[in-house]
Amino acid sequence: MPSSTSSSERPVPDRPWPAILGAVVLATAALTAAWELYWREIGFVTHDYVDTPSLWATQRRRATGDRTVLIGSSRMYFDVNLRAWAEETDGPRPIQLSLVGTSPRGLLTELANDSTVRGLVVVGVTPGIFFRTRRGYLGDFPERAERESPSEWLGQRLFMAMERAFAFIDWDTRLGTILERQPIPVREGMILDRAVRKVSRTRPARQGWLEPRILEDSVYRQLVRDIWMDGDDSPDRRPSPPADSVTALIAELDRDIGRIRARGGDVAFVRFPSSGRVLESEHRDFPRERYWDRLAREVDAVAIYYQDHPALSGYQTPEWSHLSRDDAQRFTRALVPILMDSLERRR
Amino acid sequence: MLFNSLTFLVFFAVVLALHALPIPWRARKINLLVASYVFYGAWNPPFVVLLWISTVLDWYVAKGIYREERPARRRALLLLSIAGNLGILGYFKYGEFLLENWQAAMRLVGIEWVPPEWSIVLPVGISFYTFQTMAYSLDVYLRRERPARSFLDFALFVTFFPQLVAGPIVRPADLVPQFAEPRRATSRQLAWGLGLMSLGLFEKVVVADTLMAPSADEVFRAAGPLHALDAWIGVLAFSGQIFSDFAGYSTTAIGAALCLGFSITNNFRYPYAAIGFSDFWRRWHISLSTWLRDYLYVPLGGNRLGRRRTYVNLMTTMLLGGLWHGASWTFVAWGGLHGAYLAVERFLTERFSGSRLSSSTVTRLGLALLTYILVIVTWVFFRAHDFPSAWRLLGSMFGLAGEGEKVLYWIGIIEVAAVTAVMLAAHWRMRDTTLEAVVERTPAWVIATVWTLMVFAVITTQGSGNAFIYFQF
Repeated sequence: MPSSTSSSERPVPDRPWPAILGAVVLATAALTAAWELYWREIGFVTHDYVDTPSLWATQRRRATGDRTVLIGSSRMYFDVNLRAWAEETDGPRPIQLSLVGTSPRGLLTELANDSTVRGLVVVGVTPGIFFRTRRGYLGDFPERAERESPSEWLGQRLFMAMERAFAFIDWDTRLGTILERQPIPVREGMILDRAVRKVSRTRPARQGWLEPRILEDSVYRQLVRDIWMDGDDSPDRRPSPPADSVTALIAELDRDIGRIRARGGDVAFVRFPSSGRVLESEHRDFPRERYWDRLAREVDAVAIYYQDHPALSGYQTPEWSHLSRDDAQRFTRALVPILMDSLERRR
Repeated sequence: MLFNSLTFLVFFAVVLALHALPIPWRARKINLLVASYVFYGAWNPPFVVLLWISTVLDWYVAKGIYREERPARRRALLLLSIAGNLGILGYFKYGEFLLENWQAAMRLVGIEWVPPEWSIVLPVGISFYTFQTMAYSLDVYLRRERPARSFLDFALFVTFFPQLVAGPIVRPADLVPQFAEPRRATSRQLAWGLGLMSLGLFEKVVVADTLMAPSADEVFRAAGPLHALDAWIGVLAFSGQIFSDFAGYSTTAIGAALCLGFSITNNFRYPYAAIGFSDFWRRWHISLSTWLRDYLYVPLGGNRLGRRRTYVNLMTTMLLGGLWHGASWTFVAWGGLHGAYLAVERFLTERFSGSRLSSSTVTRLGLALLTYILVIVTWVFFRAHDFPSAWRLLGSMFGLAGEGEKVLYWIGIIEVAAVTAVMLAAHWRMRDTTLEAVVERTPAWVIATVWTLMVFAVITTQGSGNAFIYFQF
């Protein structure tokens, strides 16, 4: 055989390995316990799950038959309470497939092409995301979920078991995230593009709600608000989509709605509350009459704008973009009857 | 399944437990074989069939070659093995590439032809196990080895999970005999194996994925010219990432095998301290470079057929070595550049070897630095999606692209600069020694501290779940 690959027993350095291994196990356990306590002290909790393609896939697999499916961005994700919805409809909990920072348009098309989906699909409309053509932050989740391997399937279950035990398992507590957020001056000529901080908590059925720290900690709340507005006053901010893009969007939506309706299902659109500078920015870049009103008027489906219904108005959005957990519950209880009534009248 | 996953942790614990059972050696080997199929099938179960095809094909072909005395029949059997393995590889890995190039060639002669859509999923690690099984038939054909006596041993050689999907590409003579006798790791081997696995995972999860990948990704996905500092940092980041990713995998694989009582040879020997390119290729992906040398360069004639033919053989080997990494001309260019460096080095060595200048420390350091710079510049072709992106980045690096955009924050630049400095110093320090030798001289408390910090750092990253770069090859 070639000399370069000649076989031999690997040498093992002559050290007191049992003692070293024992010390490593004990020291690692101690460091991990300290790390866990540190993050619990800051406010991180167990049973708060990281949204992953596999977690999303568990819900996507359940989105069949006449189950109601919720798709949208973070507002649909945090502002709807699944249990309240079930109680108001006297039916099962809806399937939550919304993805933060991500347009639901591609997913609506996917559901429309899935012959097993025969229920109501409720689409959350966040103007800055929905009326643009980009898929957004987690746009690859559906494809990754579809390709989920047996290893990933099992890994998700094990990961969730860890999340039940450890509070430090979170996107915000990862080493990479911690390093990235060090307060180091920005290079001349660059604009700080800050990543979104922890703004929600999640349960296994993908019930999300606004992070309580945003309500309790005014400094943190202001930080989240500032991040929402990063780049908003920049001359380089993305321009509003042109009118013909709305025309194309309406054709696309009509096609998808037609397919779902042909199987006995239906589609509805909901605009959730926002406030403060976020709302101002939305009004500036996506004037209601040019975007939402055209959608509501030209698409053959129920479309609910929160400001049009007194029962859906007056809720607090602490960081200008999402409802608190308590308000989300109340909002859901107010939204469901309006939605069902609108669907009934449309029929 | 990925080494850097919770699934693997559970899987490996179960495999270790089963391997420690007081049951016959044959039953333990069957456990390992089944575990290896589970390991591979955990990605995509149907692709296990490819492993079976490769296993059965080379098992029978090698037996036939060994029994056969007629040269023509022996050659025909060998061609069957090569065609079978390269056929699988070609279909899954190079099919689309061939069709695209055929389309381009047709266009050159004025024929517009649209190839059928090619949406074949690439089976993980296919380049590794097809080369490993081909080596078996080639060794028997070249009368270097006898066929394995046991089908179980051979199947385990093809499938052995620690090195199945990203190497090292183990030779039959190195692994098959290890399956003949009962093996179980001693407590020292188990501890050292776990130490190697910790080191490998630290390299992968902390260094490659957490510290280097973000800057590399940011720079290589830029659509326009970059600031020179960003371009250089991005390329340094990728240099560190690919080493840490791949060497991390190899180290984890070696550690996992050792925990089960098996020895796998090193795949890396501190390559960024290489002095010259023949030295680099004796230190980088050693199992592939020796494979290419023994089964391609030497059979082509090596350096035995005159100077000109030596250069042709060298270049052919490196071009094909580049193509092995991926179905793209950028990989071929990467291999071609390394072939050119080796050729120039050979030419210069023939003229200047033995001069006093070449053995001075300053010259050696200078040559090591020159080698490193050429290696990292050449990585641009390896990582870039296409030639325009590669040229654009090279232009930014060498100040030919104007002012260019800044895309990296200071924190990323600091991380990459610090890791690169530590990596280069470590490679230079370890250049002429081994990890085992250094660890043997290190106080136990230092080993325990470093090991603890590595494991803790891995825990704090929470496992990125990113696949190893070499899985795609």
